[in-house]
Amino acid sequence: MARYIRIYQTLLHLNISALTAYRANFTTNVTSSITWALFSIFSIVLLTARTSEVFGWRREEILFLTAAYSILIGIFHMVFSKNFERFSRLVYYGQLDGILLKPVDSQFLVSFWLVNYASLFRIIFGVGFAAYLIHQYHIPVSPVSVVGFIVLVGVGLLLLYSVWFLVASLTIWYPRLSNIVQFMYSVSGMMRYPQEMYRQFAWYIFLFLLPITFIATIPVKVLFQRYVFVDILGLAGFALVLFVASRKFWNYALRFYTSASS
Amino acid sequence: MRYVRIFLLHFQDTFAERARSFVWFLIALINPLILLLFWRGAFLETGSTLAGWNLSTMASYYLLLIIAGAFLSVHIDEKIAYYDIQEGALSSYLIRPFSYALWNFFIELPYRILQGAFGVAVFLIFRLIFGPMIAIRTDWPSLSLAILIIVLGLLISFFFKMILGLSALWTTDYSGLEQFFEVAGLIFGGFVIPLNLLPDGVQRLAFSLPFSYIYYFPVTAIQGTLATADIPNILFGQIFWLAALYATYTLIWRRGIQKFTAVGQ
Repeated sequence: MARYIRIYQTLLHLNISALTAYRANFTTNVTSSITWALFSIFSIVLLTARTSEVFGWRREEILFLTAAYSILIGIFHMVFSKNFERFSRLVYYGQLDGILLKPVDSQFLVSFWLVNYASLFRIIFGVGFAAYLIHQYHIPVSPVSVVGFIVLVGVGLLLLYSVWFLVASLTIWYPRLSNIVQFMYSVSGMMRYPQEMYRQFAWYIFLFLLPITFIATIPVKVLFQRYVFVDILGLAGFALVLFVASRKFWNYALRFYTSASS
Repeated sequence: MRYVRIFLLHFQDTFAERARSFVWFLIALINPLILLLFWRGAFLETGSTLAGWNLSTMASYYLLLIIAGAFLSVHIDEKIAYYDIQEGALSSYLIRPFSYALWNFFIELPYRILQGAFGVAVFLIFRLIFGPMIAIRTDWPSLSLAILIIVLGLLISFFFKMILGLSALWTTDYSGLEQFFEVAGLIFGGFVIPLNLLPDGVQRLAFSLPFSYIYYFPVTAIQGTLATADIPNILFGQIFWLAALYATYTLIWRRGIQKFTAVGQ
């Protein structure tokens, strides 16, 4: 474990060096990160402008869900997204060979190689907006609920990572499906809305979407102290099961990796 | 005739990569479907109408938006910026006796047709399930005008994305710009909410930008919520944007190829 932490520290330093070398890239990434953060908030503000309560959520609660989404997706984009974006490239051009030859866990290397520091701005934006909403609408939060929120955001990230990894592993068979990452960006956007909204779907579709709808909703419900214990168990259970599944599926998929030249 | 051949050749490519096209279509499908779900819940809870919109018109709007997102969202900018400019493939186009714009248009068109067809299929399935609740215009004079608005919308979208792609001649990484305009398109194209539900100031801004002419007006024209008296103004606005974008494209193309340096080929 200590070895992997040391490797990740090195990767963090290498990514800072890349950031200083390609400053224009960093600037455009910051611009796009802030633009998407603004879009998340602006779109929910517009949608809820003419309604005070929907799906049992008050307007300020839905806005807070968006702030939580910004924090969560900001962390996800900072740590993982760029890695998933290069996933199909690794397979298509056979660059995965180099990773498989290294004496380090391949899932670790393909997941953590790149760090997108620009997304820090989205996290800061989300935290700022959440703090503003708590102050403006006098949302009652306790230190325990804040700790619960932070822990469950971590669990939600594990769940989101596992879902993305499972889907991205398909590129071993279909390396031309590089746009599957764009698809996952759209799917992740579903977390911005209350879980109750998806109950309008038929039960089998709802069940399929359940893990995604848990990710942001449950931490926010814990913060507002209106959760059911089963929800927390559900989130943790899905995270654990899907993480194990993602590891098994990756190892299974690698059996079908034939490199670029074969 | 030679452009027809290019079109047919790429039509075959489109079918060779139909899974990729289907994923692009799914991307266009998710957002309107989620928003439709949101509005359905909101209307069922409040049981009211909103500035002339009810559940039926809202459902038709978002389902048509799925087709618009698939058929009218041109993605040629990615090919131009990454393959033609950053990897230098543009040099091979410079020595061919073809118009670069027309060549790219006929590369893109098969993808729009296939993804648009996926959208139409989804629309028809919903229409089959929900019947007259999902309504569109059916009288031929209005339908012909709506088709004209759609074609002009596609051309505006195409030249807008051509300019965006060519911006890579001046920037090392155009992704920030691309993301910025994607967000602008979502808000001002009517993907979040129908534009006439926006606050007044934002609405005026939306109607003055090209995005409403690419997505919102084609959708409302085919849906039948666009007043007949407004159609000449919409057509004028579309022609204005098309001319402006074409002139800008011509200008930056001429200046850009003087800056362009390629490796390899």
